Amino acid sequence: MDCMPNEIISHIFHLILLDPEQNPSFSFCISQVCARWRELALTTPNLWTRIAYTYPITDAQHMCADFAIQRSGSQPLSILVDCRDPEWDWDEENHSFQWSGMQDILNRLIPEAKRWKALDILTDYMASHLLFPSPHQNHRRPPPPRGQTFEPVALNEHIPLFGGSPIPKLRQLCLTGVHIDWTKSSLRNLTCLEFKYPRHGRLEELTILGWGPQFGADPLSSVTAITIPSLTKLSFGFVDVEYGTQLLSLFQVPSLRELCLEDVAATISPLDGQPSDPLLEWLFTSQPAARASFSSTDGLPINPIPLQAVRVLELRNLHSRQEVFASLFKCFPNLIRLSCMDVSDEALLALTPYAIDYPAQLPNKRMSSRIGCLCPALEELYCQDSDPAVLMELVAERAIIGSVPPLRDVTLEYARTSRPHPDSHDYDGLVKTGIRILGSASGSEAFRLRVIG
Amino acid sequence: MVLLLTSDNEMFSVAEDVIKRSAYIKNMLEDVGESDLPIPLPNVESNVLVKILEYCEHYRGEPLPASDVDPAEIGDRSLDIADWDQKYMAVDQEMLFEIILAANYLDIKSLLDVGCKTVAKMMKGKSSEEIRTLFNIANDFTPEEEAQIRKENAWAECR
Repeated sequence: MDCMPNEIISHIFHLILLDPEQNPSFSFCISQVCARWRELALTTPNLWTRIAYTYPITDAQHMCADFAIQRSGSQPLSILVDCRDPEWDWDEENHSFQWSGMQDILNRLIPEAKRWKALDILTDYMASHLLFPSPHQNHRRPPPPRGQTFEPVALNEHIPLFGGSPIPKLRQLCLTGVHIDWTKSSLRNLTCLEFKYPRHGRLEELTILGWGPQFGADPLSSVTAITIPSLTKLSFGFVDVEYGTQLLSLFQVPSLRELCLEDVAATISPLDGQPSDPLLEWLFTSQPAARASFSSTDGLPINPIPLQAVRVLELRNLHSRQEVFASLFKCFPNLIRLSCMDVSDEALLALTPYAIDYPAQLPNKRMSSRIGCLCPALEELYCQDSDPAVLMELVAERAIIGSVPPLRDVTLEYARTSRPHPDSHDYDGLVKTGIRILGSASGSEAFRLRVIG
Repeated sequence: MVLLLTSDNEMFSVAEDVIKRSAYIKNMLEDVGESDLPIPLPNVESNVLVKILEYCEHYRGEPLPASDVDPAEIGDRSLDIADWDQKYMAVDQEMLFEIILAANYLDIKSLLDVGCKTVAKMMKGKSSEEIRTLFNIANDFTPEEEAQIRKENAWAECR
């Protein structure tokens, strides 16, 4: 190791610390190996640009943050504050992380606000005394909500981020379990914003999992349309399908190219699955081409999300009937890539070529003119735990009809179940159909854990 | 074919499209043109060059990385290493470092990156003392530096 030039050692340090799984405090270990490494570490500001606070917040973490702020020079900072207590008993008043704890953190971080590059804050609950009051204001703790079961959606206290102070250089923001008062939150230049549980410029990617704004008695009068002209990627997960449909109907995203739809309730609790029909049907009926034949959209406004330009579609935990999926897929004439994870096989059946019932007097009875196929531009298909027979039939039939190109990249992953044995009929059929098979033969890796704060 | 002369005076005859994965050799061939004279590699021993050529042969035909890419930008930011590369790097520590140095000298960025990732994975999760032991590095801190480190460790959680 002694013969390694400094630039290689420095590159190795970077590789370790750029790994998102690596604790940022590893910089300290590096700087305590030998004099040469210490000199190298202390003169490389990029090694000190990640700051992580995790519960329980300790003096050591403050010390690490102080060193990182000092040693990172003028480099942009990536900050994680995770004050979630895994043993919290859902009593907000007695949560062991209170405003004083956040104040200690913010006292260090806010003077460096101009250097913030990415900031993730994860909390168990949302309260204005905990998150982002203005540093110039006296912090007075408002009374906690009383007489109600803890439900993030029921909280109606919306927080002005940073007390409304502008943070012009902030580009990425991840909010988990937080309700924001957007009228008082001065965030103008974000390019990546993630919401988890609760609800824009140059925003290009948006993730909403769970709940958005609370609707009043007349949801459509209390919240106006959400217009995000630059948005190209929308990941939308709903807990309640009716609410999700209402929320999605508010969006106006004319530049959309990638769409992810997920039934979050089914992800959290697979036994509580709900039909996704209302949301899928609304997506279809909201499209301009569909309006001529569908007169009713159940009172929802028609703010079309132009699905005809969408190239990538991801469906997670959606369950519905074949005809509903078929209606949905009609909206995606330019879809290139489709992922179906924990989606009922009816979705695949809907993509299988189907006979068109032309009037009998039509003289042209050639086979190719009587076969229809949804998503004609589809090239890549990724499925998890789908029925292999259904998938094989879909791939085989799309390959022979001639009016659409065959699927060229098809994957079936056995995520929850065991991969079939290589000697089995299913395995042989999948391989012969050109379908890539992923997953464990034993099924031991079949569990997937998603933690939603 | 290209002739290469190692530091221990062994001559290697290598297909041009194999050795052109080395930006150093590629540039030299472009600058000098065709020649029957061997290219001297005073920093590479024959046993190391054999390993390097094994790598270049394996990736023969694969697109070359852009020459102006910074090493820090090569590859993804995870420490994932392809299966074949992992097996290739399953060598003793001395050879690992020789490969990295040769990759650096010959300017084979992808190999340099794999080598550095291999070392990074070896270090990951280890304490300062464990890293010292792993790489046989002497603790040569001055008393002042020792005092500063003690102060850091009094607070910081450095595993």
